[in-house]
Amino acid sequence: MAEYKSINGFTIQDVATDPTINTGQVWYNSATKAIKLHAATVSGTWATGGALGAARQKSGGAGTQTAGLIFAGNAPPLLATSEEYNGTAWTGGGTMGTARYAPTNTIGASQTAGLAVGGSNGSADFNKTEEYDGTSWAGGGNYPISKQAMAGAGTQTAGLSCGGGGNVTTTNEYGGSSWTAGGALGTGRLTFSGCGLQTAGVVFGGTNPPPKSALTEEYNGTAWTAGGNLNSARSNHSACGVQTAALAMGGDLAPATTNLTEQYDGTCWAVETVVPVARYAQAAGGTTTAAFLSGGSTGPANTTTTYEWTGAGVPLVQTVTTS
Amino acid sequence: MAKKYQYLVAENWGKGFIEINDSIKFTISGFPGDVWRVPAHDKQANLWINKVLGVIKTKNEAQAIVDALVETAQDNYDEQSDAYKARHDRPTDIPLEE
Repeated sequence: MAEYKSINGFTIQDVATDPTINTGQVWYNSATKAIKLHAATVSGTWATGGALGAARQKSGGAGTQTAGLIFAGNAPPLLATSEEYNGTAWTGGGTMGTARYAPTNTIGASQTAGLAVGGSNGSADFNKTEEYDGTSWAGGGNYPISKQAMAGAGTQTAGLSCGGGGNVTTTNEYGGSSWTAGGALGTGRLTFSGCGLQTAGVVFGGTNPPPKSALTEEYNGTAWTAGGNLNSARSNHSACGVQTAALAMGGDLAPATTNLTEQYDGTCWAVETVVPVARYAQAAGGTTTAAFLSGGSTGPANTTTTYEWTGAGVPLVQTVTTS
Repeated sequence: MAKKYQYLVAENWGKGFIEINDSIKFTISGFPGDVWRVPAHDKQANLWINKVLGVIKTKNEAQAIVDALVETAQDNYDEQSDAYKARHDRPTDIPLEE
């Protein structure tokens, strides 16, 4: 049988461990006896991550795929605990002062600079703000009104929260210690999601009772303007990314729970690879390149499962197989 | 007509249960009760079933597992207050495809 070298005049690299990523590179791994190559994902993919310590829904989420944070939520009972993710496993973090569900999900905040705003205990909504430093939670400036199910964007020192129960259009901006009024949403809604920055935020979906909303609005630090509509109107979905590169994941369609993923480019939403399991009220963090999606409910039950998103164009090692 | 899907039960242990290369090669869909659906007559899907120690179920067996959990959740929902129901949707039936 002809050898590869006699056909092409050279051999592929023979190594015991996979080389550093260089897209297009092909090599033979003598340890695993496999021909491998560095390719790139052609569309987004989902993989399972580490399981949460506590099944929960309607939690807050923040951070990145390798430094994530989940806090509060409903197990039941209501939770005040937080957990931190390192890309492999979740470990216990600080405990909040107030157990609650449906706080504003301020995605831009990091694992070491989290922000929890508002929420509910089922009988009353809260105006409480709490700040996380990677170890413990401390009280921040109270939100001007008691609300749950708001959408948010920004960071611990430049945050944004808007809408919420009662379908108010209120927007408020956080400066690290107190809240000031911002521009009003065009459409008041609750159980929607947002991401981005205080000066370049985006919110989408939600309930504007009773139908689900597909509306997207973009914030410039002063006023909201209309963006492209979601392909699938939904509520209780999750979000991550920035105003020009955002993900909408899972949630409630009317009436079923969905696993649909959509990606925003600042103008239009495009359908992306579905989450393996349909869930709503999940916590999320990260970017359109690398994100995590954790907890939530399938409808019948709350879950501990984390899914990790890898966006299109991300390099990965593949093994050449025959079939 | 040839089956389009096959169903299995497997416990999701977390990291590594579904890997990126699994998701690239075929579609894995999960349902309540650790029920998973993958393409039938697919070598890569069969290798994944072996990896996760999946127990093959017929579509009707898988449907029964899912239905039992959904019905329990619906019963729990029906017992909740009107205030709760105003803010939450009732869990819906999940029909599995053949």
